[in-house]
Amino acid sequence: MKCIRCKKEAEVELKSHNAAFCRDCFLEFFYRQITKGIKQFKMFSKKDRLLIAVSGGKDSMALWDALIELGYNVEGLFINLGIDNFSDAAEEKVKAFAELKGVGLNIVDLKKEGIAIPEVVKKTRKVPCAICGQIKRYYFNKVGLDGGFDVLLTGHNLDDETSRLFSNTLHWKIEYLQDQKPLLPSENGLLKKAKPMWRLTEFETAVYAFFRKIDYLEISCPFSKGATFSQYKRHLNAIEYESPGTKIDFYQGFLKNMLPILEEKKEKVANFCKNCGYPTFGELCTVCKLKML
Amino acid sequence: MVEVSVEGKIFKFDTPVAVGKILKRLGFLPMEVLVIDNDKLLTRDVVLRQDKKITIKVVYSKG
Repeated sequence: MKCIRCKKEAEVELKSHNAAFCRDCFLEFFYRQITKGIKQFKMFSKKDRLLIAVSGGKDSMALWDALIELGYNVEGLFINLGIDNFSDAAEEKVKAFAELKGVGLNIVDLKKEGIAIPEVVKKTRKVPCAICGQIKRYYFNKVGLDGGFDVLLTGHNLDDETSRLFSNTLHWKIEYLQDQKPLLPSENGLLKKAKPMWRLTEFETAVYAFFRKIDYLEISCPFSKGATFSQYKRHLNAIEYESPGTKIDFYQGFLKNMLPILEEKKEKVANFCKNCGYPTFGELCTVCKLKML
Repeated sequence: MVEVSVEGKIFKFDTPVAVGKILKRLGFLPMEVLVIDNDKLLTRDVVLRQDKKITIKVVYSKG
């Protein structure tokens, strides 16, 4: 197989783009897709101060690396979840990367905050991924606003978005579908949030991390084993294999045709936490409630 | 013989064998794995004709 751009031997085949690329041309393709994703939603510019939430996994590390290469002003935010044999290993990877690249890194330690995930799960008996997500979003917002950043970024890719869309559609979770877009504007005490890799698949991100020799954490969170979204990703991959381009069509079709209808019915956050001021539907936000347990 | 390492397990295939055929036999879709030959990625049309050790890295998140 030959690279469609330079005719060298290809290392990557991308059926959804009807393309194959050598290493150099793939990297250009990857950067172009990120730039296109950013510009399509006017997410941010090179003047903005960006904060990227990094887990130590391939997606967030690849995005961080790519944005540095593209010349953006981006600092990392790592949240140590306090999960034995996982969180500290992830922190080491993230610290090493920040040091190698000479970029800023902010760290929140949930053990020090008194809400390490294993303890919270034990106390509340809630689904770990749901409660972890709520806690992470709280600190993404807090660190972003306190630090004067313009936008918070996450490494969600097309597979993350389509598997979530698939799940939310299967179960008609309208309130989640209303928020499922690559850019959430700043409003009501919430920092602007963006997902610049929404056009790129998990495979493309893994290829980028391999070519760029990014040292990322390869083990999964012990609490997330067998998560439903992973099963949906594999179902969607099987469809994508038979009909290349389905995933991006599914997501872009949703953004264009369905989201505008859903947004008209969206309920606005009316309250702010009495303790910390974070936007919430109740009197206290989840994190403040957990700290009081 | 081509030795294929997948998450610590070794599978052996007689040569010549196409990368696509190896993936099919192991039950992987091409977009779910990286097929690595030293520092290089192999596309599914590559036919391995000589003895070689390659690695398959699963890239879909299991979490």
